[in-house]
Amino acid sequence: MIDPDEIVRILSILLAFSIFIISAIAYMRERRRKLLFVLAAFFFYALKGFLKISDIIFPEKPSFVDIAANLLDFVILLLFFSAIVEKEQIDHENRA
Amino acid sequence: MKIELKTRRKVYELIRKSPGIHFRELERRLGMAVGNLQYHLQYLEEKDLIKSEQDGKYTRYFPREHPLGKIDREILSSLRRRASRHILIYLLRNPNASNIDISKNVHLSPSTVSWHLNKLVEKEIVDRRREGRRTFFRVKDPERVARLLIMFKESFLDKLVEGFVETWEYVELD
Repeated sequence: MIDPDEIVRILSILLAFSIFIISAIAYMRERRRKLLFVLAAFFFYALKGFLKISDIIFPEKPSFVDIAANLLDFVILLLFFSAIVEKEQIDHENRA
Repeated sequence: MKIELKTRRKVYELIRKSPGIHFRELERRLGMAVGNLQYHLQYLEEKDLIKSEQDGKYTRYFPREHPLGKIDREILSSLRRRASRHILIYLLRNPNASNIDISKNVHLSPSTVSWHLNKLVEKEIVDRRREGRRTFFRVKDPERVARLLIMFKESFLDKLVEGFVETWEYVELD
């Protein structure tokens, strides 16, 4: 029997994975670096979600999982920050 | 150039959904005046987007399917981007516009317009012409772009992706 907490965690992963797919399509269409950072952030978010639910599949969770999840938190925030500070290249010639 | 996209797309979409639909049915379902409808049907037939067939006292309309060439596919992929689409529609109505004119009228920042214009110039959909320090833009093949705009239909995925891109487009430090 899956408890409500596990259901929420699974739904979060599915949502993160859906946003990752949308961001991947957006990046493939636009080829902008800002979107690449966002795409990577959502990929790591989905990956972190898989790590967090690994105890449902493997009851004996290895110790590195928590450390890896915390490290991924840092990477995700760093990627979002990079997306915010990333400047688009502007062609000044065309701005006349 | 008068393109009347919205009405033409409505007529074309209805014919595509109901192949063989006759004139009176089109008139009734679209709620359009006879003269106006005839004018748009004639335009669509001239552009080879639809064909008509006489069936007794009825004139029936069918969509024409065209295999899309490389240039058509390039244009359609640009039309998927809302910003590019608005820029192209503006340029069809106002050939030889500058970046600033476009930016003011499509309500996008000059840098965003510039980015999209560069892509459109790279794909040879838009022509760039320099006059002194000013640069002007126009659509290379207005007829082809107008025809593809009628055929183009934004899907749910297009809307999702576009919403996502727009969200991140404005997230930037000055």
